Amino acid sequence: MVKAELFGKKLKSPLIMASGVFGYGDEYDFIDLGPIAAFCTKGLSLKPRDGNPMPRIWETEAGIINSVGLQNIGVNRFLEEKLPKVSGLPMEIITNFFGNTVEEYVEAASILSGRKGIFALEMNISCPNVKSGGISFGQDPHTVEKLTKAVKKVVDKPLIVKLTPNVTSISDIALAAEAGGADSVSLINTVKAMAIDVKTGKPVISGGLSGRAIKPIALKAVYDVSRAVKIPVIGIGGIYTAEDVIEFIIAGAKAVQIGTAIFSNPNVAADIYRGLMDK
Amino acid sequence: MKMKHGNPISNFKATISAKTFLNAGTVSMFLKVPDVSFAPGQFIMLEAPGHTLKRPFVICSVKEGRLRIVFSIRGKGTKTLSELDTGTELDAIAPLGNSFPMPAKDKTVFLIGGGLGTVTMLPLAGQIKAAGIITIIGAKNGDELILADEFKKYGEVLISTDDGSCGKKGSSIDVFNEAVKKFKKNECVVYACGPNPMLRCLAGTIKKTGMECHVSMEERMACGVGACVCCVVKTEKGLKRSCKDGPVFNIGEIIW
Repeated sequence: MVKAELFGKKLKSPLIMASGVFGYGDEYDFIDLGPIAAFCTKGLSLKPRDGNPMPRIWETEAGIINSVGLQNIGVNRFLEEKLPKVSGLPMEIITNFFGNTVEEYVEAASILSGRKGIFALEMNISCPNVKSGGISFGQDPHTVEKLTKAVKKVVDKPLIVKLTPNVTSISDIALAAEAGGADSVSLINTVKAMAIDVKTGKPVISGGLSGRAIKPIALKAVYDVSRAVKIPVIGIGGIYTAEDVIEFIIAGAKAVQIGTAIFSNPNVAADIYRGLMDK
Repeated sequence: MKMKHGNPISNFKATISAKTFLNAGTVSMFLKVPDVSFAPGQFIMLEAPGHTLKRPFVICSVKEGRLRIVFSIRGKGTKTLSELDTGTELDAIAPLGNSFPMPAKDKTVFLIGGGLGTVTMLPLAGQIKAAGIITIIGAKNGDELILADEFKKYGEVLISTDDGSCGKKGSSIDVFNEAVKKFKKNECVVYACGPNPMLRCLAGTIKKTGMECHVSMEERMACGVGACVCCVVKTEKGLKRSCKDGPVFNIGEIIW
């Protein structure tokens, strides 16, 4: 249960830190990085982005809603300032990236491609497509296939497509990514959600739900997608324990990503790893 | 240069050793911790059992392995914490964030605390070596006024309340504007923490007088270590993370 393999490379564990909770890899310098096979950077765009106003985070009964709005330093600053710092760490680096047009995706991907020290690219397709009235790229199989094809043309590294659960059939989207040439799909991204303050009678946040609440949703998606596609599936959603990891592997995942759990326990990956050793 | 004290210690156990209510909604809590050193302004992320996120609290003091926090019951997490018994073990990360630059010894120091922000001034009062310390505490009313007696050990304490039920009626910044009149701008250093409208008002005064002033910005946090960028503050140098680049900022940097 402890060993894993992705894209022909043996990994020391199936444990990957998810995009968004691990910064650019240089913030968690005080935890045991040993058991972490790889980490995904914060989503990178062609140009730096400021993201959304406060509040960006809200706790719910069994998880959190975030609305960070993809604040990031942009691909170029990442390569200049962060990549040299994190290249020496004992984890593989997966650069998560996104765009608002196909051209932006392709340009960001081509800048990241060919850079030494990057293990794979993870493409976030949950963003609004400005040329299609803001409907997210990831909601339409035809768009996903076209986008994946266009990006795949310019990258020489494994391409993981990260899927949104906010669709009618996630398997159809996964099949489209596979048809476009994706080397892997990771799922699920956050689930659309909102919190309301009864005192003000207004919504306090509208964003993406993560944490324990979404684990059963993610398991079902991973189970279905694993049976639909041949490429490796990376499971994400409410993973806190070794048992959670095993459930995802049984559902069909070849590796998993840990997200929200790091907020309650920075050493969650090390604790899960120990748990997997005992199983 | 802002001081940085050591690397945070990840997920140690903090054990509640004492808990007292300062008023109906405010708790002073002591936690037994391993060897944690800190500088005024730094904070601890503390588990609230049953909740997804840890909660940030300013470290008031660490003495003989006992770390003190003071918090108000604001939501479900702080309510849970306020109900815990002594002996309860909580996961914690500390010390986190930057700290207040210390003043030169010949300065007079103003500590301005609005509401719960008063707590953030406490470690400064305990560690500052200065010509004098004048603390100004603002509260909604006399019942919600906290820590006034503790600050009296360190110097003069001036009080303001919104309803005039204790001290002067009005805002803590009105009281500060009056008290600071007898000083020249380079004779004093100002430290403050409180609600944004109060700090924004203070920023106006400081801009006019050109005094040195440092504020602690409190935003809702998730990771506490700079990774998730949930707690950003708008500054002249772009968005800064209150947990990692702050929580202490020069007041002139903040865009209100």
